Amino acid sequence: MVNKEFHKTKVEIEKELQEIELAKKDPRRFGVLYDRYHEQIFRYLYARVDNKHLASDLVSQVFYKAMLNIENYTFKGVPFASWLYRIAFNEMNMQFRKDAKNRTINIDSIQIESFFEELEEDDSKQHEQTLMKALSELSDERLSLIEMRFFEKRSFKEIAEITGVTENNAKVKVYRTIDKIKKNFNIRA
Amino acid sequence: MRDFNVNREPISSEEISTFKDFKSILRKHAQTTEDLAKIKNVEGSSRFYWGLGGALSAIAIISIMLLSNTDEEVSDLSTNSVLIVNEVKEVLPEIKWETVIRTPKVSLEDALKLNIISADRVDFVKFSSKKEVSILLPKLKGVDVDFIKESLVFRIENEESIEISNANTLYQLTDSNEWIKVDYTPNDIPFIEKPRLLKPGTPAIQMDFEGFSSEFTKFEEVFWQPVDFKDLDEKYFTVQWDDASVEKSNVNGVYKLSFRSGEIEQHFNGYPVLQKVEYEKAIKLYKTRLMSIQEKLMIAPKNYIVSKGVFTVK
Repeated sequence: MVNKEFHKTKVEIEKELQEIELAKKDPRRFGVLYDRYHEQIFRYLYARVDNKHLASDLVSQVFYKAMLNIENYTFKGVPFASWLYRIAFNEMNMQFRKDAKNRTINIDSIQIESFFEELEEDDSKQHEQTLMKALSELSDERLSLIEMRFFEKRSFKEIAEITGVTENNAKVKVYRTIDKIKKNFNIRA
Repeated sequence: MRDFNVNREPISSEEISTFKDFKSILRKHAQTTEDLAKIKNVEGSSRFYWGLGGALSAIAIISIMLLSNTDEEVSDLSTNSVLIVNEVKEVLPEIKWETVIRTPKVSLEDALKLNIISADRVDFVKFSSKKEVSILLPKLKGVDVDFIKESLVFRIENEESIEISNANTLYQLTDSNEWIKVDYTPNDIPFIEKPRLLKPGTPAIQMDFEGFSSEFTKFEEVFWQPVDFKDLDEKYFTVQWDDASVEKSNVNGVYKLSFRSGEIEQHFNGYPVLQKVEYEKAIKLYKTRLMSIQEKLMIAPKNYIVSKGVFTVK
């Protein structure tokens, strides 16, 4: 179930740590990391906003902040990518606090189908509408958890790294959110 | 209620890459780092002055307390106080980039002491001390600070052309904070055809072409030799040619010679050659002309094509 795109081998992580150390000494060396993660971060943000230019602005802000703070990044189990996603997560939340109308949920039919399996509900049109309503009523934090876990297929470990909670806490929150969504089906059925 | 996009057309990697702009992030980062360095300088000096102020106050209080003592002691202390007051008066110089915009009345060239600059807007600063350099360009160290401590420095945002006098040189500040010479665009050197000597024993065709003007037509007995002797078959010497012509080829100093007789037509690429006496006259003239061009080049202005960066002229 976990998306392999977000996983790195030990060798890749070590190589990246060397690149990070170089970027700490010379900001121009950050370009390698920018090239590597620009698309991922762009997709992450664009999936949550309905505007390419807004997504691009947010991406720039993410990398700018990453460059400013890279001195503080030390590998303590949190991969660099997750550190970037955490900045992106915070930037996005700040953006939505300023302008909530930009928050969009992007979802495709396959994701809907697999999410219904998780909910143990059938994917009828009526249920689809119930699901949309339930998702739109979630808090930003809980919606982000659902998106990361079920739409982007991230591991609990990575979700925890991005949102800054423990892995266990991330699991609890995700399943509590699932329970909350399920209740919508029970009430509205 | 949030907006839902179901099955939105996925964005392609190519399109995402059009949004990439690492340079602007790098620029913003550099600007922030510079600003932070300035703030740190001000904070540092503020702490220094607060400390100094505190010390001064303490000395002033002690002075007042001691005023009731002997005249001699008071005199010593007041001298110390005056020295400290002088130190407090020292303030950090104010230095910042100024912008000059080209208008009918404002010349960027005059402001920047350049012959020509294609930009319509340039930021510049005239440093008058090392301290000013270290405030505005805090990453510069040692000789690179000395290099511009009393110089005019300017920065441009786009690709521009610059012309400066030949006696000067344009320097650019590199990303590693060092001043380096910028390569200028070499001036075009006009081609001067170098005379060639007709070597004894080599085949050549003597011809005077009507209407053809070359540096050598003024000399007597101009011969022509092919670039490749294989091109010169015996027909050139046995056929009675009705017509012959010469025209410049694509290569400087090489000509295309054409010969026609009835239906026969032949060509070869060649160049003019002179016999010894005429050759010596021609080579003397060639050297004089070459020297004159070299003298002109030595004083010709230097032209540069530069992109975004910080520059100074020395």
